[in-house]
Amino acid sequence: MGVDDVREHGLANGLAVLTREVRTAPIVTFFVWYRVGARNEPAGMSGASHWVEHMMFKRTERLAPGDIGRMVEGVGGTFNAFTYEDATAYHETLPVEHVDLALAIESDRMANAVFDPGDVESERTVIISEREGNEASPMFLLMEALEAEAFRVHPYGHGVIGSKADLRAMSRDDLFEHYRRYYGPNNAVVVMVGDIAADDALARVERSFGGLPAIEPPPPMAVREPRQRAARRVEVRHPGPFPMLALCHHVPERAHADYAALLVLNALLSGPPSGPFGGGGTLHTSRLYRRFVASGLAAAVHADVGSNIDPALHRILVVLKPGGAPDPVEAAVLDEVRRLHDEAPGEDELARVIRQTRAKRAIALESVTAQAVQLGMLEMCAGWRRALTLADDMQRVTPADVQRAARTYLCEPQRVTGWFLPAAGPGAAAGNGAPARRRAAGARAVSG
Amino acid sequence: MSSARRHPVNAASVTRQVLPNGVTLLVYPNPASPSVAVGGYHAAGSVLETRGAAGLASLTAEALTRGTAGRTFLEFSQALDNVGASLSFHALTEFAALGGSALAEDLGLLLDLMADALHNPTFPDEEVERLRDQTLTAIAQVEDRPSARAARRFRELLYGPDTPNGWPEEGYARTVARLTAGDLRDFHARAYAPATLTLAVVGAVDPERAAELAAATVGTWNAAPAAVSREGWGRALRGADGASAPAEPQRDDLTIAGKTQTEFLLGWLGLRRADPTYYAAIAANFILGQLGLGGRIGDNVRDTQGLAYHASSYMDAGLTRQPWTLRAGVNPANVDRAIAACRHEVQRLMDTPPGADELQLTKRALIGSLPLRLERNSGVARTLLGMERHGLGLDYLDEFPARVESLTPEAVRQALVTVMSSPNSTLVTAGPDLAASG
Repeated sequence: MGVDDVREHGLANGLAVLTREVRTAPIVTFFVWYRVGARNEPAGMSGASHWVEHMMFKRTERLAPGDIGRMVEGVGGTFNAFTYEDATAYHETLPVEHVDLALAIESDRMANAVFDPGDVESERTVIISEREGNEASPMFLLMEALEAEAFRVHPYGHGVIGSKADLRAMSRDDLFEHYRRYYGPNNAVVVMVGDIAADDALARVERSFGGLPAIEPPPPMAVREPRQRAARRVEVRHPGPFPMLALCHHVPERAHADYAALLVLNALLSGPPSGPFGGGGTLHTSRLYRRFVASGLAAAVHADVGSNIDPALHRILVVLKPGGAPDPVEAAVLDEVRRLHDEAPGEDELARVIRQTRAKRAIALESVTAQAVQLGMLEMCAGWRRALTLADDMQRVTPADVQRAARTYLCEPQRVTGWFLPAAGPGAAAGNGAPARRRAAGARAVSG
Repeated sequence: MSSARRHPVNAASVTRQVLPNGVTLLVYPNPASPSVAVGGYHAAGSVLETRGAAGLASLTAEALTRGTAGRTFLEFSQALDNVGASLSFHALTEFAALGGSALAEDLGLLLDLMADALHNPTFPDEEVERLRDQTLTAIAQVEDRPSARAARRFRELLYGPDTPNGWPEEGYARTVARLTAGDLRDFHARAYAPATLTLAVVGAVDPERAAELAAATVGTWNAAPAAVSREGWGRALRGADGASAPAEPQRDDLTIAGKTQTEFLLGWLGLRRADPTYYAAIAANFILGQLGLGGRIGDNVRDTQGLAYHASSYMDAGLTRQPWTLRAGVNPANVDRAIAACRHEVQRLMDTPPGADELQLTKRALIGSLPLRLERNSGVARTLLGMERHGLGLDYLDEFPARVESLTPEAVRQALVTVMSSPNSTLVTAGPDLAASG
């Protein structure tokens, strides 16, 4: 997939449209991305964007609950939606002859969702149930406590699904107002990938969305997290099977010039980025796997780098064996970080990372849905072209760049260290009820 | 949906051959893709292990890449990682599976590594010990996760202790802790054999080239003298398929400290894939618990009552009879209401066949979703392997629409009655202490 393969258009009402022809199967995927997520939620409204996403499957002036599923699956399609820190996305993948169905559904709910009070109430308990399901995961408990500590001002600290207190308190009108403020053509991007010509795709989008009026431009999100000046720690003591460590550092936003060096750094630690987020599977040859898992020091390890509009976190996650001792593991992680400070990686190591990245991405991008996710998610935080130049951007990174990025960002004052430590009894998780970063919340049980 | 249009994956486009050593090879060329996917299955599932060694098949499969006669674990991993390829092995109950992917130019390397892992694993003591520790950690995680814990207990109750279907593929902490490298070598010698291996290669490769590469790699594998035959595997599967449905209703409530939500599974012993009612059953399952956000169960439990984020039904069907289950995660105070709602929806569909519109929608969904499932090379490989394993023939995808179109409302109702009319259901809940939750 190259930059030249993607066509970019704009409708008069401000709707941006990205299309790409892929003729491998008679299907098309249709996404609408809205520039609203947990990032846009003021205090007391945590979880509003995700709750609005759920309401989009309820009632519009034309549709009743369940209709979207019946319509899309009735032609052999699939549908879903997800909300994360920076955006909310809705999508249908379906046989190409039925593409207008997806456009009709999405243009309708862009403007006409009704937020029936009864539907809002029944969805309140569904979302609280979703949250309680998440709470079964020790990693969720650890990351919500850690992110609350890392982001004391910025909404990234309150997560996506929202605190229980906010979920209990928000009203129908609060949610409807959030919807009206952010849902409109000039705050959205359409991404269409599949067995359809660009001109045909654009004409159909124009027919379905062209008549929708632009909304008042949403207020810019101006909150900035103050620079962290001293290391922070958080411990969660709760019943659980084994200790877990999350060693995190503040890193810049996705559009920052140093981001490619951080991706390379992370690929050395764990593995190349295969999806839109700055992480992938942990390779057996990676530094962290060799140091922790192959040596028997820990059971599993992973690292990733946040890919967001605003500055985010780089994370190193280590799962210890049941009963494993925390101190040697933390010392070893810090030693690996120090190694990045002290030694520039070899040119051969960087060359291998680029080969891995190109191969993993070629395989990961086989499906039209994966391509649309890449384009949309990068457009939300840094411009869609970066989805296509990622491996080239990484190839330009030098060993000195990696070392400089490590020294600049993976340093002690920027560090937030979190431990999950198994405790007997009901215990109590620290934190404010926010969810784990990058656990995008979805309308169906398959997300995350 | 035009039934006249031939499905691209068919008997003319798929090449099937049996290599001289007994390996079955399926190849589907997809020149549009830059990559290849390799998938496979063979006899070495937990169906060939004993209850006292539960987890042996799984640990053996996972350990195949941890050292071979010619490569250490690190060298094996480097060979894959240097080109961004992947390859993994794992064991299920009825069979063991393998899967890998690579850029098309690296197919030869991928097959070479796969053959090396299958033919020449050495199971070094140190690597087996580490893998065993990782497995014990994974088992500890299962015991902490309400959904996984409930699923494990459900199979124990449904099948009883005497069939591999009744114990977890990954084993129990007490059985895995005892497994040694010697156990893995013995299991490899008797459970791994070319005659039970079926491979699918899908992607940017022509069938002749794929066959040459397979012949030069897995084609050179000679079975150990004591290795299982296809007949032996079949006998083991028939032995595992002997479970009869429970003679009375069963229920177990598991308490896991520190959880706020209860996960439950309610289910019955279901069907084999070869059962003639299979097609009616997938339609019934779709209506009951899949369509949209969980079918009728989702409509009732989630949309109408607001009790759960996830509520749906699942129907498995294998070489042996597999469960048909209804599942949800709910606040402990709402467990009884949610279970009653699930039972109500089952009874409603057993009492009254689905309406013509509902069934027509279901048929269109089942038929129309085929292209989506076959978009990726790995999806095509998985589908080809399923067709081979269940003897469906290479024209199965062409025939599938007609089989679904012929279903009647009464056949769909009857499929549900066949499995779920027994009062002897099995129910497991896992989460906070239900007694304390009132």
